[in-house]
Amino acid sequence: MNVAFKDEMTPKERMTAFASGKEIDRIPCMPLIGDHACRLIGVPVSRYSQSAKLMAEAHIKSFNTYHTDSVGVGPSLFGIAEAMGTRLTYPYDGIPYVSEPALSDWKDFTKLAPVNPYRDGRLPLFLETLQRINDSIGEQVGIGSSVGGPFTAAASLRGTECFLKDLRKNPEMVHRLLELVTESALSYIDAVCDLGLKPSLADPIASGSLISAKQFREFAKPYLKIYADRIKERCGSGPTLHICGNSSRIWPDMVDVGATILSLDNIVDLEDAKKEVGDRVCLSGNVKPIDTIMKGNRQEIYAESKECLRKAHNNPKGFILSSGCGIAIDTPPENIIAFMDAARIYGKYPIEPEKWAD
Amino acid sequence: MADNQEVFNRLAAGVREMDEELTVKASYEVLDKEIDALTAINQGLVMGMNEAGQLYEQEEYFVPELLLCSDAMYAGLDVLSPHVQRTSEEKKHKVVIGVVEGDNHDIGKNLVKLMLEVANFDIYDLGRDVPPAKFVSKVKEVAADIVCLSTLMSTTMDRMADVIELLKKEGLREQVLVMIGGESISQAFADRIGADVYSENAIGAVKAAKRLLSEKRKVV
Repeated sequence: MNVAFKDEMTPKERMTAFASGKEIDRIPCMPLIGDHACRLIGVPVSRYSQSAKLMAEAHIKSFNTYHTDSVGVGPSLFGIAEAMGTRLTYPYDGIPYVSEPALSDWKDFTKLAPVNPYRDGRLPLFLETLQRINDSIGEQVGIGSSVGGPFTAAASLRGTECFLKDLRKNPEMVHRLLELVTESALSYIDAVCDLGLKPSLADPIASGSLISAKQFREFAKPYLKIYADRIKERCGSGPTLHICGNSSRIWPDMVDVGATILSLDNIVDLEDAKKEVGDRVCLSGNVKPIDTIMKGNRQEIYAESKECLRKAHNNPKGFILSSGCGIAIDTPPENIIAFMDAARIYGKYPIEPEKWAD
Repeated sequence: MADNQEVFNRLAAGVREMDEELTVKASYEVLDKEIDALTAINQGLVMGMNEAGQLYEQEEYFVPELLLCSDAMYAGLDVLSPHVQRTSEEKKHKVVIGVVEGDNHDIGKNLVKLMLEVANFDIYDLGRDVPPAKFVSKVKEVAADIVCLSTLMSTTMDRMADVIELLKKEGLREQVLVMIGGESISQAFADRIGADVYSENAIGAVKAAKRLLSEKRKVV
């Protein structure tokens, strides 16, 4: 697969300049590649997920194919809960899911302990993978590690449905669980920072499609802030924060948490976000990963990317072109190349809005 | 009668306010006073769940609240259902529902099921991780009016198309309406795979089901 449109800067040069407000060659582009990477080396998800060597190989191949402006692997949604005892099922070639929450009975709460990131669950695998990726392409691109937020981790320990009910039935225990999860996550965050890399945060179950803004403020925000504070303390700047679904009610809260980049779902409007919080935070998003990037063609991918650029290229705190949520595993690689090309053609500096006319 | 209405109000309030205890207590009161159980279900429990649904639509309630309302409603149903006099069964529309193969997320499916039950549909719940053939054989077996397919994940959304293909192959597509829902899908996806309708949430699903059935009746 050839990259038809060449970049002038390496992703690392670009993102370093971007972060300090210096001139760059084009709008940064960060599709959320995730486990799609395993397709590029032709191994099933289940084998890939259990091998640092394969995960590293897949993400290095992904970078060399797409030249994305970030690369990352991490415990994402379930990794922290898994390391604390929740059992996941790994379908041969599908996304792992929670099959046995560790805390289906609150009585077992005292059995839970904070994780050791060098020993528990797949956390050591992720750290080894990050090390391998960094050794190979760390000169060219920033490596990150996506850590599932406190709300998502706690829900995965308790079972999501029970956890959501507990918000009202048992808020005290919910807070105790969130504290424990936070302690665990901080030690993983520290381990990633010790490698010289920067974690990012995603808290999909704290979605506005599931809980109210009030519940977000009570149960997710205080703990997310602890995560973000630690990342800021260790890395010098706050993390990217992704929340799925309709996050519009909590944008200011997401900024208050200390995020420097808000990664937005495709169901919200970038222009609205720009108006509301664009003077405080960089925005990232939000081309539809399924309808457009997976199922669309090059023209459709260009059209929606242009739409995002039109809405957010002049965001006061900057804009990164990205997918609105994780890239689906079976997305055709040529479509991701088309998405990157959209940033290369239509996001080239100096910006020429006339190129966006249909 | 006024006395009955007062009990119904408490049943509804118990469900709406997520108060299982109140709901169960009022349900026993229905039995003590020998009020018709079916009337109490419809004018009490179902009313309360519909009010909860409205609060959800108005974004006063979110998923945690709906789950607790549903717990209260089922607690009341546990008490009242055994006492329902089965008279001349009015014909209910039949719905087969399940989460498609490869996906285990069922909160959304359960909420749709609940709201359809409240709206007086007959539900056949196949659970989660359901292979296409199982949907189709159930549709055939019960002569379903609607089949509801749910998935949260993008990796499994194409299984919905598999179900539709299989329905066509078995010559069942014309007789059953296909309704799909889930976080990663959209009306555009529904159009592409030839589903009859996509619904964004559980309340919308009930509206869509009723609308589709009345349209179908007009056509026939």
